[in-house]
Amino acid sequence: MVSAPPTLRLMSKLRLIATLTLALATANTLAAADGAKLTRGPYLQLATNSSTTIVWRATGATKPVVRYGTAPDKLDQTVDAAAIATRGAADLPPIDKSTPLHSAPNGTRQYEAVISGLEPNSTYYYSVSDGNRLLAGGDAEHRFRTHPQVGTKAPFRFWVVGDSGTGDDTQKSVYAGVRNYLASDGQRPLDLYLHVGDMAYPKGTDDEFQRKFFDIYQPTLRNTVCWAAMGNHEGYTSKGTSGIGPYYDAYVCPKRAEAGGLPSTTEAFYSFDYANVHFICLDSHDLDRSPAGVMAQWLRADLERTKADWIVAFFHHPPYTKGSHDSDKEGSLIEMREQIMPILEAGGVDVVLTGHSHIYERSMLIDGAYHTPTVAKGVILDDGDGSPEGEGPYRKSAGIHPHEGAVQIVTGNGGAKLSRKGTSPVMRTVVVEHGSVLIDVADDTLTGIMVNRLAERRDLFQIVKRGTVTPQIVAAPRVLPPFSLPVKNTSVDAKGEPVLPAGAVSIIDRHAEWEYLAGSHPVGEAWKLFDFIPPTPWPVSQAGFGYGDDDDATVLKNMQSKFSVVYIRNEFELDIGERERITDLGLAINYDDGFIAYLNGHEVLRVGVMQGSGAKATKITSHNPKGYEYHSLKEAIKYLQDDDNILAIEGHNNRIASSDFSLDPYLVAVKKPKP
Amino acid sequence: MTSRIVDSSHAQSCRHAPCAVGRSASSLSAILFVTALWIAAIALPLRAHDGPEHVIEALSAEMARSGTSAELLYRRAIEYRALRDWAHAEADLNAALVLSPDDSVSTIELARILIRQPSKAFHAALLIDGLQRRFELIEPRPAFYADLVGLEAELNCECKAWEEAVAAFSEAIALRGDTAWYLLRSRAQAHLPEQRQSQLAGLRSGYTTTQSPVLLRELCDALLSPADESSAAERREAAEIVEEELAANRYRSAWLLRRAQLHTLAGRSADAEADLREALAELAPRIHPTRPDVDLVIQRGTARALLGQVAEARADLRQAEWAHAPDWMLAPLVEALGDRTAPTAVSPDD
Repeated sequence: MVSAPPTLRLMSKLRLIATLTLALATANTLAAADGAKLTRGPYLQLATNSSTTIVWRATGATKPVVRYGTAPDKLDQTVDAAAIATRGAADLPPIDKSTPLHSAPNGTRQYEAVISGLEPNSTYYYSVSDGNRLLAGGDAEHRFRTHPQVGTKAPFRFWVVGDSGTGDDTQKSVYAGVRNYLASDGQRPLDLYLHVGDMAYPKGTDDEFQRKFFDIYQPTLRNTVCWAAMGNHEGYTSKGTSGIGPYYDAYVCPKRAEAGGLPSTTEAFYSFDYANVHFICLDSHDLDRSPAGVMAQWLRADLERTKADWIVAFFHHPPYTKGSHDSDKEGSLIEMREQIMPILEAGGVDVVLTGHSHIYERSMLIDGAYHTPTVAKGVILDDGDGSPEGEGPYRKSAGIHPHEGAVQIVTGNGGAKLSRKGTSPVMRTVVVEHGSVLIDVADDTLTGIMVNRLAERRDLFQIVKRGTVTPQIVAAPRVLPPFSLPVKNTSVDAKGEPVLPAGAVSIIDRHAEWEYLAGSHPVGEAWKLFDFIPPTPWPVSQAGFGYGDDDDATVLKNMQSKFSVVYIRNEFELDIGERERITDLGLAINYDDGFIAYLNGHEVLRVGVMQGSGAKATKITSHNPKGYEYHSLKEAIKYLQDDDNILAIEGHNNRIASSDFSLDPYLVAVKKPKP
Repeated sequence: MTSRIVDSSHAQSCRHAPCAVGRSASSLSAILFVTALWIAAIALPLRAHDGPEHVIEALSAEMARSGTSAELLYRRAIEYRALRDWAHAEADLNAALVLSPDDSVSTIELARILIRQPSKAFHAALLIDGLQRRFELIEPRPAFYADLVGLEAELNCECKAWEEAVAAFSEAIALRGDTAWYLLRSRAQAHLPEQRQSQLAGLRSGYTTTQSPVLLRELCDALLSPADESSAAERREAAEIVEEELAANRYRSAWLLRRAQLHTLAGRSADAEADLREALAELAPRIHPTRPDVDLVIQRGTARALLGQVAEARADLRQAEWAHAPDWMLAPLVEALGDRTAPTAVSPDD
């Protein structure tokens, strides 16, 4: 028997998990043959220690009824009709003074039922009906547990997901991964669910919310409240200033401190208490992030008031990241770091949960890292791994104290395509893998893990707040090594020959003649463009360029200890129609130590050059060539042009005194046959 | 309805006679156009995994390939805004409006960017005014109409046209009771001594409606400012707020400063000094040594100034100014430092 390759086995397992998840999602949701049809939910929202809110949508419904009780077969209580708010789609006649649903399908009614007068920390079961006709519930899955009394130290668990809203198998497998983990670890189920934004790509429309959030997470949403923060993709259709849009239709968030904290007067940012933890949700997307803004003023007041043991803040834009986004370059991220983090840390925040950047990054215990760009010096209070199984938990004083350190977690790995730009200097763990985060709080101990799609634990950290701890800055913190951009589709055979795609042909031949500049830097960026005319003509010679290893056609005798960068350019032509026939493109290159390649002025490949370019390039990693390596440039096909094209490469030595240097590229493509 | 935007350079209202004829029809067309534009924008592809610089690159390539459009320019402007590249964002929005002059989404966005630049306030005023006129007779008005009125009010604040700002904020609040608008209206009214009672009434109403802690603080400060105009009843009202907050809060420095102010007004210097010293002790561990929250720095500076630690207070003022704290945040510290020339109610420190 021939077993499937590991990759295929993984895919098959993931598909199976996804299918099971979908099947679970649709179970127990009933649609009456006639009349009312359930179209969303029911799901839980705004909950306290004495109340919860049940939301659902239906078409054709006329008489919403919610029954509840302490056992699935004992739903002996009925929610008063006055406690059920109804909102309608824009095509329906106005319902009382309610705000119409932003863009729900025609005929849709949304019901928001508040069940009050409940016991704290107690489990109830519920059903929703249209008159006497059951729509959903009355089983073990449709249940809720009220919050424990504020301040109690009851252990609880919450799940954190970000950037999940693709609706594809990846998102489903991340969800399946955490469900399988919960099923296997034999501890406690979820008590809360936090979503840090981007739950409905690409525009956060009503339909996208349905397909990419509600349809997928329904098995959890019907028995666990999802507390949400708005992402930038929801921001295309929902506005924090007005509180209008599909995002604000989907969630019922506290505006008047219904669940603890202080009234925010808006659903865009809010706080709530659960046991001994104070949760704060901020809108990092479309509201004023300045220290003088209303959100910042409310945040100060809220932090001054809380007397919880722990403070957890969550919002979309990460103050620290080098994943698919760069927190040193983007305005929202910079402002959250420079302007909001000082308030949070002065208030004693313990954990900050964010998304936006499609990666998992978890920091050391840090404080005061407000500068741009972010540096490790002077901001690390504990540079250990924080793991109870490793270097030990991070330690803080009991209770809430300012500037004793916080752990930052970027969990934008819930479904969207992953990528990484570098390494934020405050991070202890970076995992470029899909997954989500589970956090357990038990009295004075908070434990966080990242769970991947296969229900495997990929990170573990712990914070213990006990006694009195005097925070100390680590003078020379250990930091992660610089990130080397992944070399994709690189392969080289035993003889040092690149393994090219089948059918590849040369566009720029091996050992072709190139223009080159050695010993000085070109002025500006124009040298990467076809039309570039140098002040003095660049010499032309045969590749490869280098010294010291006896494999160079053009030996740069004066390079060692004089200069470390060489620039080369090669023009090539594509006949009319040829560009469209190219299905794959790649660079075969023998290099030592790094290089950046540009196609028609666009950077298309960077290997071993960690920062900057040209004369400003820094952090060049060492590379010992084993011959030609093949690098796919498939993503760069879009930059090809009819007729004239230019491939420009800058080669870098990691040390000016290095004993050798090599830069020897050629360009290949796979083409469809001419019609 | 008449627009109240004031051009700072000309110091006159940008009032235009309303064009009643055909206004409803043209506004309806505008709404339909905007809706169509929005739907078109939604239909365009958008990748989930790209940073702003990548999206800008992709949109530029798309425009190079298929030509510019208002939708693509708007989207690129939003990405430039994310990178805080205001000049490119402004240029793209202007270009979008050349292609689609009726695009209200781009117009509002451009106005928001222009308001940041005092030299372009008149341009912003024209944009807001024009857009308001298109929608003011439509019922029901689109949700963003309240934002337009709010923008108008903010622009009037930039132009120091306080009366017009107050009127516009009041209209915006009637449309949608945002906490920010209550707050900003109060600050505009603080420039108009004759509106002090109206200011207090507006804040009481705003707090009753919203229960916002931000408005409660503003109300307390307004009750005590200017100090020589606050009545005994107003001081009692403020004292009740202060005591409730001191009893409820974990961090109390902001309220200790307010109570110290009340003590000083009542001639209880020793009590005031005790509160100021307690506030300073609490603030010390909360203030980060290199880059603290500016609000805490201002609190510390105010306490120091009132305790006679003038040099330290001035250093705090410089730090707060360096952090670009707005005038209203700086006001208590500036006022406390200003008092140093007069006899102090509190004994100076060594």
